[in-house]
Amino acid sequence: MSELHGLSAVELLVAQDRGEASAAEIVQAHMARIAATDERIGALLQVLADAARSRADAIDRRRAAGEPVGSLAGVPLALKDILCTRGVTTTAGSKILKDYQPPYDATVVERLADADAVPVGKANLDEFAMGSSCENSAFWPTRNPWDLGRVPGGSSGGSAAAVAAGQAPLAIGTDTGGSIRQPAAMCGVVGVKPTYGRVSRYGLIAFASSLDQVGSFARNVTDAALLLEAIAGSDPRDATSVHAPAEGMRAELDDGVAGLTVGVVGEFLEGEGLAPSVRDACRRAVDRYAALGADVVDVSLPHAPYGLPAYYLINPSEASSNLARYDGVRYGLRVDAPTTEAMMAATRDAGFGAEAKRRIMIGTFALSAGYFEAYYAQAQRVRTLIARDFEAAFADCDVLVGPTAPTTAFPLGDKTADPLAMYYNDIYAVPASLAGTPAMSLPVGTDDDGLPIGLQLMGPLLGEATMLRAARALEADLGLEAAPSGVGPLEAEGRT
Amino acid sequence: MPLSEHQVRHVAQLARLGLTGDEVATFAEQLGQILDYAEQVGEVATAEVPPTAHPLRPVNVLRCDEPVDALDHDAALAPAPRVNDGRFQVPRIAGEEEPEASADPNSADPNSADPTAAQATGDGGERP
Repeated sequence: MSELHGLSAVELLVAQDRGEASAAEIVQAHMARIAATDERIGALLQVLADAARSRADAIDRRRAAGEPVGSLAGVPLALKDILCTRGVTTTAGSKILKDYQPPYDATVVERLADADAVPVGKANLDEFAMGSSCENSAFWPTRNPWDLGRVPGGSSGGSAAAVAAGQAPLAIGTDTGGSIRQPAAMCGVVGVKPTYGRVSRYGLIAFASSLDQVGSFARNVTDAALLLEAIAGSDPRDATSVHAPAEGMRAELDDGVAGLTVGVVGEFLEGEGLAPSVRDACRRAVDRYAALGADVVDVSLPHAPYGLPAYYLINPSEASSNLARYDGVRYGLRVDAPTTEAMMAATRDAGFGAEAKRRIMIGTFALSAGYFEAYYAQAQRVRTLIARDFEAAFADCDVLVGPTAPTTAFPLGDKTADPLAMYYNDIYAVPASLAGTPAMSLPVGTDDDGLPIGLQLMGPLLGEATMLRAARALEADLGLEAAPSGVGPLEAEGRT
Repeated sequence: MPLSEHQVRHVAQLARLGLTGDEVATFAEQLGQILDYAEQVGEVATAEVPPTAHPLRPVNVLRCDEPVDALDHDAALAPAPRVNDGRFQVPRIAGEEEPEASADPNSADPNSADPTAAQATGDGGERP
């Protein structure tokens, strides 16, 4: 058996069932991997060593006593530090919440505990999930395990990097406009954003409420689907959560693509600014679908080019409203000043980083008197047209494909001075976010520099099972289901 | 087109963001670029199109009206930077806009026994 930190979640479950490894040994192996790699990668803001060990011991005791254990028993997992964990510091990557200890657990955290997953750390992110490179973290930038001079993508960059580096086989991320899919593409892992409303957002620190969704990272499609099944399902504490059965994400996984219709999105694959290496890798993937027996057709999402402009009105508008709560009164940082208004302004100036301020400013402007109709309301109407484009495409197709991101991972510092250049990272991810459809990124190859490339797959509303089936078929065909991707470059550099 | 520094300061005031002079200049430029880009949405004809907020358009999400455990009062206050007598504490609010007026006994805040600390409880009550 290879090293424990190289195994998938399913393999770790089997190893425990067979008595080949205990949860304690599994957690220990991943703690060692974190110790060996995270000083250079910086994926985790906090390592939950003691809690993980005691949870693993409890699982081992229950297993030994013949008691039932959960669907993810003893499987290590990294949790994006934007989900509330009771009594455990939850920062959202922001100085304004640097010492915040939530008084309650997010529903996702409760469900993971019910499944006996073992959180090993809280993963770094762009502040309040605003960013595409993890460089907006108030603490430190996470580095890409494939090339430490490059970004891991964002905002769930810590989650993606942790999985790529073998620190955990699974991670939880959140995706508002690509924050799971783009870092998954850049770190060579699988990242799934389910349908809007699939997963409860109770205890998720709110960013853009009509778009935010929790999802999964893994090194293969089956693991990602397994994690999604554990966290999905309606929740009375989140009125936007959808009443649809959580099971069945894996129901079609091994059914292959013969008979499925795969739509290739012209606006994405012919998009300006798409790196030739990414375009070529996506085209090869499309060819494989044809070879595997799928009907491959060209489709158009005519309003998709308006997705990013609409997104950068909707997202900041909702963010400015959500972030109004950080005012130095109920939680988080307070900078004292003689009056309440001066205290709030001083607190928010000291507590928020540049990107958070930028979005608060854009959103406040877009929602202010005289601009609301032309900006926010118009963007929500454009959103309807984008959703209709998807609906029309899914009348003929079972799944849509295109690139996840326009380029592979870029060097740290490359785009920090130019907000619009950073925003372009999400140009292909945002349309599915606006339409609310499930979407995911699957590794389909590498560029000339050896950097991973992701193919984006998009399914109809609540159509995760078919989307995952199409992803699994291509994964099996490409044979990319892999050991921790970061091992090569890291080991070449010499482990400490 | 860049926003004017006056516009930036006005929006910052609405958002309760204290900005330094450098930030005002940078944001005037960057917000202008971002808004110019976002204004493309105006090219799309949407006269008959309703706005979308939830793609699945749920209607009337109901649950049984049963009591459940709520967050404990002390637990809810625990993360607060300043607490006083079981409530969130903020600097004095009444009279904030017109400091001279506080000399007039008729304008004193009848709800505040302590002139140095006005208290707010709950959402929204704390904004002047």
